[in-house]
Amino acid sequence: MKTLLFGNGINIQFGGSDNYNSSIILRAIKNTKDSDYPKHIIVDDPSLILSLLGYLFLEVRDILAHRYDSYAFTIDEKQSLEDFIRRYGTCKSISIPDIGFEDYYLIYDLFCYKKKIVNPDRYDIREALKAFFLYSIYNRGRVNEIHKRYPAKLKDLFSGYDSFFTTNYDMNVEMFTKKTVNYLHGAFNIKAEVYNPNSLRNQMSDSPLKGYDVDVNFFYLYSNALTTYSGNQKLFRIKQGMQANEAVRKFAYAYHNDPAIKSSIEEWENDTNSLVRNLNEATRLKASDPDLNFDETYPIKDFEAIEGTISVLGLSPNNDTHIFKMINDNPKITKVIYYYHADEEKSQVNKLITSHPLEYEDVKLVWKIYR
Amino acid sequence: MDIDERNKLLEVLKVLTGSVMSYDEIILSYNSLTPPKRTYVYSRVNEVLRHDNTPFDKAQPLIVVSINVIAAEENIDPAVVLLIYTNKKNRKAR
Repeated sequence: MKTLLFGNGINIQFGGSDNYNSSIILRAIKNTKDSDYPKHIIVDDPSLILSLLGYLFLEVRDILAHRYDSYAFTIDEKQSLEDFIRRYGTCKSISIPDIGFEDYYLIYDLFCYKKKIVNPDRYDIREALKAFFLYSIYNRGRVNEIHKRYPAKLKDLFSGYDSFFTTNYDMNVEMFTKKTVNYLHGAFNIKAEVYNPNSLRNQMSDSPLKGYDVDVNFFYLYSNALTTYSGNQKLFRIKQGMQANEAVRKFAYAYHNDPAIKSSIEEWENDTNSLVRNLNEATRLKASDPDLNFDETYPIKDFEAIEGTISVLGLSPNNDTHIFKMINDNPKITKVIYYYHADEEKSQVNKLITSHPLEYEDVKLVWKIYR
Repeated sequence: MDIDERNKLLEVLKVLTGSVMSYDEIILSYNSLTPPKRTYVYSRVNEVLRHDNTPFDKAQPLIVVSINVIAAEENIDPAVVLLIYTNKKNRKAR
Protein backbone atom coordinates (compact mmCIF):
# COMPACT_ATOMS: atom_id res chain seq x y z
CA MET A 1 0.00 0.00 0.00
CA LYS A 2 1.46 3.35 -1.03
CA THR A 3 0.14 6.66 0.27
CA LEU A 4 0.99 10.14 -0.91
CA LEU A 5 0.69 13.04 1.52
CA PHE A 6 1.12 16.36 -0.20
CA GLY A 7 1.06 20.03 0.77
CA ASN A 8 1.30 23.53 -0.64
CA GLY A 9 4.61 22.79 -2.37
CA ILE A 10 2.74 21.29 -5.30
CA ASN A 11 0.70 24.49 -5.67
CA ILE A 12 3.83 26.60 -5.53
CA GLN A 13 5.51 24.40 -8.13
CA PHE A 14 2.69 24.62 -10.68
CA GLY A 15 0.72 27.64 -9.51
CA GLY A 16 3.72 29.90 -9.11
CA SER A 17 4.35 32.77 -6.76
CA ASP A 18 0.61 33.45 -6.21
CA ASN A 19 0.76 30.65 -3.66
CA TYR A 20 3.76 31.88 -1.68
CA ASN A 21 3.02 32.88 1.87
CA SER A 22 4.18 36.43 1.13
CA SER A 23 1.84 36.67 -1.88
CA ILE A 24 -1.08 35.37 0.19
CA ILE A 25 -0.50 38.07 2.81
CA LEU A 26 0.12 40.91 0.35
CA ARG A 27 -2.99 39.90 -1.58
CA ALA A 28 -5.01 39.69 1.64
CA ILE A 29 -4.02 43.29 2.40
CA LYS A 30 -4.78 44.55 -1.10
CA ASN A 31 -8.07 42.67 -1.36
CA THR A 32 -9.51 44.84 1.41
CA LYS A 33 -9.57 47.79 -1.04
CA ASP A 34 -11.72 45.93 -3.58
CA SER A 35 -15.28 47.19 -4.03
CA ASP A 36 -16.65 43.65 -3.89
CA TYR A 37 -14.72 42.65 -0.74
CA PRO A 38 -17.09 40.48 1.34
CA LYS A 39 -17.29 42.91 4.27
CA HIS A 40 -20.59 41.35 5.32
CA ILE A 41 -18.71 38.14 6.16
CA ILE A 42 -15.19 39.20 7.09
CA VAL A 43 -15.49 42.60 8.79
CA ASP A 44 -17.72 45.64 8.24
CA ASP A 45 -14.75 47.99 8.22
CA PRO A 46 -11.70 46.34 6.57
CA SER A 47 -9.36 48.95 8.06
CA LEU A 48 -9.94 47.18 11.39
CA ILE A 49 -8.44 43.92 10.17
CA LEU A 50 -5.50 45.81 8.64
CA SER A 51 -4.98 47.62 11.95
CA LEU A 52 -4.96 44.28 13.72
CA LEU A 53 -2.34 42.98 11.30
CA GLY A 54 -0.24 46.11 11.93
CA TYR A 55 -0.56 45.77 15.71
CA LEU A 56 0.33 42.07 15.58
CA PHE A 57 3.39 42.70 13.45
CA LEU A 58 4.60 45.42 15.84
CA GLU A 59 4.67 42.76 18.58
CA VAL A 60 7.19 40.61 16.67
CA ARG A 61 10.13 42.63 18.01
CA ASP A 62 8.98 42.05 21.58
CA ILE A 63 8.34 38.37 20.93
CA LEU A 64 11.85 37.90 19.57
CA ALA A 65 13.25 39.78 22.57
CA HIS A 66 11.50 37.23 24.85
CA ARG A 67 9.18 39.89 26.24
CA TYR A 68 6.22 37.62 25.50
CA ASP A 69 7.56 34.51 27.23
CA SER A 70 5.39 35.11 30.28
CA TYR A 71 2.24 35.19 28.08
CA ALA A 72 2.69 31.64 26.80
CA PHE A 73 0.87 29.46 29.29
CA THR A 74 0.23 26.04 27.77
CA ILE A 75 2.93 23.61 26.65
CA ASP A 76 1.63 24.11 23.14
CA GLU A 77 1.96 27.88 23.31
CA LYS A 78 5.41 27.63 24.86
CA GLN A 79 6.65 25.23 22.17
CA SER A 80 5.12 27.30 19.38
CA LEU A 81 6.67 30.47 20.79
CA GLU A 82 10.06 28.80 21.05
CA ASP A 83 9.72 27.58 17.47
CA PHE A 84 8.69 31.07 16.32
CA ILE A 85 11.78 32.60 17.93
CA ARG A 86 13.96 29.85 16.41
CA ARG A 87 12.61 30.51 12.90
CA TYR A 88 12.56 34.33 12.91
CA GLY A 89 15.15 35.18 15.56
CA THR A 90 18.07 35.05 13.16
CA CYS A 91 16.45 37.07 10.37
CA LYS A 92 18.25 40.30 9.60
CA SER A 93 15.11 41.89 8.24
CA ILE A 94 11.44 41.00 8.51
CA SER A 95 8.39 42.62 6.98
CA ILE A 96 4.73 41.71 7.41
CA PRO A 97 4.56 39.19 4.51
CA ASP A 98 7.64 37.36 5.79
CA ILE A 99 5.72 36.00 8.78
CA GLY A 100 3.89 32.74 8.02
CA PHE A 101 0.19 33.55 7.95
CA GLU A 102 -0.54 30.84 10.50
CA ASP A 103 2.04 32.37 12.83
CA TYR A 104 -0.17 35.46 13.08
CA TYR A 105 -2.60 33.33 15.07
CA LEU A 106 0.11 32.67 17.64
CA ILE A 107 0.93 36.38 17.87
CA TYR A 108 -2.80 37.04 18.15
CA ASP A 109 -3.29 34.55 21.00
CA LEU A 110 -0.35 35.96 22.95
CA PHE A 111 -1.51 39.51 22.23
CA CYS A 112 -4.97 38.60 23.59
CA TYR A 113 -3.41 37.39 26.83
CA LYS A 114 -1.37 40.56 27.12
CA LYS A 115 -4.26 42.91 26.33
CA LYS A 116 -6.80 40.79 28.24
CA ILE A 117 -9.00 40.27 25.17
CA VAL A 118 -11.42 37.47 26.01
CA ASN A 119 -14.27 35.59 24.35
CA PRO A 120 -16.54 36.24 22.56
CA ASP A 121 -14.46 39.14 21.12
CA ARG A 122 -11.33 37.01 21.01
CA TYR A 123 -13.12 34.30 19.01
CA ASP A 124 -14.92 36.72 16.67
CA ILE A 125 -11.77 38.67 15.81
CA ARG A 126 -9.89 35.43 15.21
CA GLU A 127 -12.60 34.25 12.81
CA ALA A 128 -12.31 37.55 10.92
CA LEU A 129 -8.54 37.07 10.68
CA LYS A 130 -9.09 33.54 9.39
CA ALA A 131 -11.57 34.72 6.73
CA PHE A 132 -9.15 37.53 5.77
CA PHE A 133 -6.51 34.90 4.93
CA LEU A 134 -8.86 32.30 3.43
CA TYR A 135 -10.30 34.87 1.04
CA SER A 136 -6.78 35.52 -0.19
CA ILE A 137 -5.79 31.85 -0.45
CA TYR A 138 -8.94 31.08 -2.46
CA ASN A 139 -7.89 33.95 -4.74
CA ARG A 140 -11.28 34.23 -6.47
CA GLY A 141 -11.15 30.54 -7.36
CA ARG A 142 -7.77 30.68 -9.07
CA VAL A 143 -6.36 28.28 -6.48
CA ASN A 144 -8.63 25.55 -7.89
CA GLU A 145 -7.39 26.10 -11.44
CA ILE A 146 -3.76 25.24 -10.87
CA HIS A 147 -4.31 21.69 -12.17
CA LYS A 148 -4.78 23.17 -15.64
CA ARG A 149 -1.05 23.88 -15.56
CA TYR A 150 -0.07 20.37 -14.49
CA PRO A 151 1.90 18.60 -17.22
CA ALA A 152 0.06 15.50 -18.50
CA LYS A 153 2.90 13.24 -17.40
CA LEU A 154 2.30 14.24 -13.79
CA LYS A 155 -0.38 11.54 -13.91
CA ASP A 156 2.50 9.03 -13.87
CA LEU A 157 3.56 10.35 -10.48
CA PHE A 158 0.08 10.03 -8.99
CA SER A 159 -0.53 6.62 -10.57
CA GLY A 160 2.14 5.19 -8.29
CA TYR A 161 -0.02 5.65 -5.19
CA ASP A 162 -3.08 3.91 -3.79
CA SER A 163 -4.36 6.71 -1.56
CA PHE A 164 -3.98 10.47 -1.22
CA PHE A 165 -3.99 12.83 1.74
CA THR A 166 -3.38 16.56 1.69
CA THR A 167 -3.15 19.57 3.95
CA ASN A 168 -4.26 21.78 1.04
CA TYR A 169 -7.82 23.10 0.87
CA ASP A 170 -8.03 23.10 -2.94
CA MET A 171 -9.20 20.28 -5.22
CA ASN A 172 -6.52 20.37 -7.92
CA VAL A 173 -5.17 16.84 -7.51
CA GLU A 174 -8.67 15.40 -7.21
CA MET A 175 -9.74 17.16 -10.42
CA PHE A 176 -6.56 16.14 -12.21
CA THR A 177 -6.44 12.48 -11.18
CA LYS A 178 -10.22 11.87 -10.76
CA LYS A 179 -9.22 9.99 -7.61
CA THR A 180 -10.43 10.61 -4.08
CA VAL A 181 -8.26 12.93 -2.02
CA ASN A 182 -8.59 13.11 1.77
CA TYR A 183 -8.43 16.65 3.12
CA LEU A 184 -6.72 16.44 6.50
CA HIS A 185 -7.11 20.14 7.19
CA GLY A 186 -10.46 20.54 5.51
CA ALA A 187 -11.35 21.80 2.06
CA PHE A 188 -12.93 24.90 0.56
CA ASN A 189 -15.92 22.87 -0.60
CA ILE A 190 -16.62 21.17 2.77
CA LYS A 191 -18.78 23.19 5.12
CA ALA A 192 -17.66 23.67 8.71
CA GLU A 193 -19.99 21.94 11.14
CA VAL A 194 -21.22 25.19 12.57
CA TYR A 195 -22.73 26.08 9.17
CA ASN A 196 -24.37 22.70 8.54
CA PRO A 197 -28.06 23.06 9.47
CA ASN A 198 -28.45 19.28 9.79
CA SER A 199 -25.70 18.69 12.33
CA LEU A 200 -26.56 17.78 15.90
CA ARG A 201 -25.07 21.09 17.04
CA ASN A 202 -27.59 23.03 14.99
CA GLN A 203 -30.55 21.01 16.31
CA MET A 204 -29.86 22.44 19.75
CA SER A 205 -31.77 25.43 21.08
CA ASP A 206 -28.66 27.66 21.09
CA SER A 207 -27.77 26.74 17.50
CA PRO A 208 -24.97 29.10 16.41
CA LEU A 209 -26.56 29.21 12.96
CA LYS A 210 -29.80 30.69 14.28
CA GLY A 211 -30.48 34.02 12.59
CA TYR A 212 -27.30 33.75 10.53
CA ASP A 213 -27.47 34.07 6.75
CA VAL A 214 -24.93 32.07 4.81
CA ASP A 215 -23.91 33.78 1.55
CA VAL A 216 -23.37 30.82 -0.77
CA ASN A 217 -21.34 32.97 -3.17
CA PHE A 218 -18.57 32.84 -0.60
CA PHE A 219 -19.00 29.18 0.39
CA TYR A 220 -15.27 28.78 0.96
CA LEU A 221 -15.37 31.27 3.84
CA TYR A 222 -17.74 28.88 5.65
CA SER A 223 -15.55 25.86 4.98
CA ASN A 224 -13.89 23.54 7.45
CA ALA A 225 -10.42 24.76 6.36
CA LEU A 226 -8.21 24.63 9.44
CA THR A 227 -5.74 27.43 9.98
CA THR A 228 -3.77 27.75 13.17
CA TYR A 229 -0.17 27.86 14.31
CA SER A 230 -0.07 24.72 16.35
CA GLY A 231 -0.25 21.13 15.23
CA ASN A 232 -1.89 20.10 18.47
CA GLN A 233 -4.60 22.73 18.08
CA LYS A 234 -5.26 21.43 14.58
CA LEU A 235 -5.42 17.89 15.89
CA PHE A 236 -7.84 18.93 18.61
CA ARG A 237 -10.16 20.49 16.01
CA ILE A 238 -9.77 17.50 13.69
CA LYS A 239 -10.80 15.06 16.43
CA GLN A 240 -13.45 17.29 18.01
CA GLY A 241 -16.42 15.88 16.04
CA MET A 242 -15.32 12.28 16.52
CA GLN A 243 -14.79 12.71 20.26
CA ALA A 244 -18.04 14.63 20.75
CA ASN A 245 -19.95 11.86 18.95
CA GLU A 246 -18.30 9.20 21.07
CA ALA A 247 -19.15 11.05 24.29
CA VAL A 248 -22.77 11.81 23.35
CA ARG A 249 -23.30 8.23 22.12
CA LYS A 250 -22.17 6.92 25.52
CA PHE A 251 -24.35 9.44 27.38
CA ALA A 252 -27.36 8.51 25.23
CA TYR A 253 -26.75 4.81 25.87
CA ALA A 254 -26.59 5.40 29.62
CA TYR A 255 -29.68 7.67 29.42
CA HIS A 256 -31.59 4.76 27.91
CA ASN A 257 -30.22 2.01 30.12
CA ASP A 258 -29.42 3.44 33.55
CA PRO A 259 -32.26 5.15 35.44
CA ALA A 260 -29.88 6.83 37.92
CA ILE A 261 -27.84 8.42 35.10
CA LYS A 262 -31.06 9.35 33.29
CA SER A 263 -32.27 11.18 36.36
CA SER A 264 -28.93 13.02 36.72
CA ILE A 265 -28.93 14.05 33.06
CA GLU A 266 -32.48 15.36 33.41
CA GLU A 267 -31.41 17.50 36.36
CA TRP A 268 -28.87 19.23 34.12
CA GLU A 269 -31.65 20.81 32.06
CA ASN A 270 -31.78 23.87 34.33
CA ASP A 271 -28.14 23.94 35.37
CA THR A 272 -26.55 27.38 35.63
CA ASN A 273 -23.63 26.23 33.46
CA SER A 274 -24.50 26.43 29.76
CA LEU A 275 -22.10 23.59 28.89
CA VAL A 276 -23.93 21.26 31.27
CA ARG A 277 -27.32 22.36 29.88
CA ASN A 278 -26.02 21.69 26.37
CA LEU A 279 -24.85 18.22 27.35
CA ASN A 280 -28.35 17.51 28.65
CA GLU A 281 -29.92 18.67 25.40
CA ALA A 282 -27.42 16.88 23.14
CA THR A 283 -27.90 13.63 25.06
CA ARG A 284 -31.69 13.80 24.83
CA LEU A 285 -31.55 14.66 21.12
CA LYS A 286 -29.19 11.75 20.47
CA ALA A 287 -31.30 9.39 22.60
CA SER A 288 -34.40 10.25 20.57
CA ASP A 289 -32.64 10.12 17.20
CA PRO A 290 -29.50 7.90 17.15
CA ASP A 291 -28.70 9.03 13.59
CA LEU A 292 -28.06 12.60 14.74
CA ASN A 293 -24.35 13.32 14.88
CA PHE A 294 -21.80 16.07 15.11
CA ASP A 295 -20.08 16.33 11.74
CA GLU A 296 -16.82 14.46 11.35
CA THR A 297 -15.45 16.29 8.34
CA TYR A 298 -11.77 15.47 8.74
CA PRO A 299 -10.56 12.03 7.53
CA ILE A 300 -8.57 11.33 10.66
CA LYS A 301 -9.63 7.71 11.03
CA ASP A 302 -8.56 6.99 7.44
CA PHE A 303 -5.23 8.64 8.05
CA GLU A 304 -4.62 6.67 11.23
CA ALA A 305 -5.44 3.46 9.32
CA ILE A 306 -2.87 3.84 6.54
CA GLU A 307 -0.25 1.16 6.18
CA GLY A 308 2.86 0.51 4.11
CA THR A 309 4.91 3.33 2.61
CA ILE A 310 3.99 6.98 2.92
CA SER A 311 5.62 9.65 0.75
CA VAL A 312 5.52 13.25 1.92
CA LEU A 313 5.72 15.78 -0.89
CA GLY A 314 5.58 19.59 -0.74
CA LEU A 315 4.81 19.66 2.95
CA SER A 316 7.05 21.37 5.47
CA PRO A 317 6.85 20.30 9.12
CA ASN A 318 6.37 23.90 10.34
CA ASN A 319 2.94 24.28 11.99
CA ASP A 320 2.09 20.67 11.06
CA THR A 321 4.10 18.57 13.49
CA HIS A 322 0.88 16.76 14.50
CA ILE A 323 0.83 15.02 11.10
CA PHE A 324 4.39 13.83 11.49
CA LYS A 325 3.58 12.62 15.01
CA MET A 326 0.62 10.61 13.68
CA ILE A 327 2.87 9.05 11.04
CA ASN A 328 5.49 8.28 13.64
CA ASP A 329 2.94 6.73 16.00
CA ASN A 330 1.35 4.51 13.33
CA PRO A 331 2.92 1.02 13.67
CA LYS A 332 1.42 -0.11 10.34
CA ILE A 333 3.64 2.30 8.41
CA THR A 334 6.76 0.54 7.17
CA LYS A 335 8.66 3.37 5.47
CA VAL A 336 8.56 7.16 5.14
CA ILE A 337 9.91 8.93 2.08
CA TYR A 338 10.31 12.67 2.64
CA TYR A 339 10.79 14.93 -0.36
CA TYR A 340 12.86 17.84 0.93
CA HIS A 341 13.23 21.26 -0.58
CA ALA A 342 15.98 22.58 1.68
CA ASP A 343 18.58 20.59 3.61
CA GLU A 344 17.55 22.21 6.93
CA GLU A 345 14.24 20.33 6.74
CA LYS A 346 16.07 17.04 7.23
CA SER A 347 17.19 17.77 10.79
CA GLN A 348 13.62 18.75 11.70
CA VAL A 349 12.12 15.64 10.10
CA ASN A 350 14.78 13.44 11.71
CA LYS A 351 13.48 14.54 15.10
CA LEU A 352 9.86 13.93 14.16
CA ILE A 353 10.14 10.53 12.45
CA THR A 354 12.02 8.18 14.71
CA SER A 355 9.95 4.96 14.54
CA HIS A 356 10.17 4.14 10.84
CA PRO A 357 12.87 3.81 8.20
CA LEU A 358 13.21 7.28 6.69
CA GLU A 359 14.45 8.11 3.20
CA TYR A 360 15.06 11.52 1.72
CA GLU A 361 14.58 12.51 -1.89
CA ASP A 362 15.32 15.91 -3.40
CA VAL A 363 11.97 17.37 -4.46
CA LYS A 364 13.69 19.54 -7.08
CA LEU A 365 14.69 16.38 -8.94
CA VAL A 366 11.07 15.23 -8.94
CA TRP A 367 9.87 18.54 -10.36
CA LYS A 368 12.59 18.31 -13.02
CA ILE A 369 11.09 15.03 -14.21
CA TYR A 370 7.52 16.36 -14.23
CA ARG A 371 8.08 19.78 -15.78
CA MET B 1 24.62 63.83 13.56
CA ASP B 2 26.58 61.90 16.17
CA ILE B 3 26.21 58.17 16.55
CA ASP B 4 23.92 58.36 19.61
CA GLU B 5 21.55 60.74 17.90
CA ARG B 6 21.64 58.61 14.77
CA ASN B 7 20.82 55.50 16.78
CA LYS B 8 17.98 57.25 18.58
CA LEU B 9 16.44 58.18 15.24
CA LEU B 10 16.92 54.66 13.91
CA GLU B 11 15.36 53.17 17.03
CA VAL B 12 12.29 55.35 16.54
CA LEU B 13 12.06 54.18 12.92
CA LYS B 14 12.35 50.57 14.05
CA VAL B 15 9.65 50.97 16.69
CA LEU B 16 7.35 52.69 14.22
CA THR B 17 7.74 50.06 11.51
CA GLY B 18 8.33 46.85 13.49
CA SER B 19 11.77 46.46 11.92
CA VAL B 20 14.29 44.07 13.48
CA MET B 21 17.26 45.26 11.43
CA SER B 22 20.40 46.45 13.21
CA TYR B 23 21.31 50.16 13.05
CA ASP B 24 24.39 49.50 10.94
CA GLU B 25 22.47 47.29 8.51
CA ILE B 26 19.83 49.99 8.10
CA ILE B 27 22.49 52.55 7.19
CA LEU B 28 24.26 50.09 4.89
CA SER B 29 21.03 49.22 3.15
CA TYR B 30 20.07 52.91 2.81
CA ASN B 31 23.45 53.78 1.35
CA SER B 32 23.27 50.95 -1.13
CA LEU B 33 20.13 52.37 -2.76
CA THR B 34 20.46 54.55 -5.80
CA PRO B 35 19.05 58.10 -5.62
CA PRO B 36 16.29 57.30 -8.16
CA LYS B 37 15.26 54.28 -6.09
CA ARG B 38 15.12 56.44 -2.94
CA THR B 39 13.05 59.03 -4.78
CA TYR B 40 10.67 56.35 -5.97
CA VAL B 41 10.28 54.87 -2.47
CA TYR B 42 9.83 58.38 -1.06
CA SER B 43 7.00 59.03 -3.50
CA ARG B 44 5.32 55.76 -2.54
CA VAL B 45 5.47 56.57 1.17
CA ASN B 46 4.30 60.11 0.48
CA GLU B 47 1.33 58.71 -1.41
CA VAL B 48 0.36 56.68 1.67
CA LEU B 49 0.86 59.45 4.22
CA ARG B 50 -0.43 62.55 2.50
CA HIS B 51 -4.01 61.29 2.20
CA ASP B 52 -4.18 60.25 5.80
CA ASN B 53 -5.77 62.70 8.18
CA THR B 54 -6.69 60.14 10.82
CA PRO B 55 -5.36 60.70 14.37
CA PHE B 56 -1.93 59.13 14.79
CA ASP B 57 -2.96 56.40 17.25
CA LYS B 58 -5.55 55.10 14.78
CA ALA B 59 -3.43 55.67 11.71
CA GLN B 60 -0.23 54.11 13.04
CA PRO B 61 -1.07 50.40 12.60
CA LEU B 62 -2.40 51.14 9.11
CA ILE B 63 0.77 53.05 8.26
CA VAL B 64 2.80 50.09 9.56
CA VAL B 65 0.96 47.86 7.09
CA SER B 66 1.43 50.27 4.18
CA ILE B 67 5.15 50.79 4.93
CA ASN B 68 5.62 47.03 5.19
CA VAL B 69 3.87 46.44 1.87
CA ILE B 70 6.23 48.95 0.23
CA ALA B 71 9.18 47.30 1.98
CA ALA B 72 8.19 43.84 0.76
CA GLU B 73 7.54 45.01 -2.79
CA GLU B 74 10.78 46.99 -2.98
CA ASN B 75 12.73 44.28 -1.16
CA ILE B 76 14.07 46.62 1.50
CA ASP B 77 13.60 46.75 5.25
CA PRO B 78 10.59 48.71 6.61
CA ALA B 79 12.88 50.94 8.71
CA VAL B 80 14.88 51.80 5.57
CA VAL B 81 11.64 52.77 3.83
CA LEU B 82 10.84 55.22 6.61
CA LEU B 83 14.43 56.48 6.77
CA ILE B 84 14.15 57.40 3.10
CA TYR B 85 11.03 59.40 3.91
CA THR B 86 12.73 61.30 6.73
CA ASN B 87 15.25 62.74 4.30
CA LYS B 88 13.58 65.45 2.25
CA LYS B 89 16.49 65.33 -0.23
CA ASN B 90 14.93 62.13 -1.50
CA ARG B 91 11.81 63.99 -2.57
CA LYS B 92 13.21 64.70 -5.97
CA ALA B 93 15.62 62.84 -8.21
CA ARG B 94 19.01 64.50 -8.38
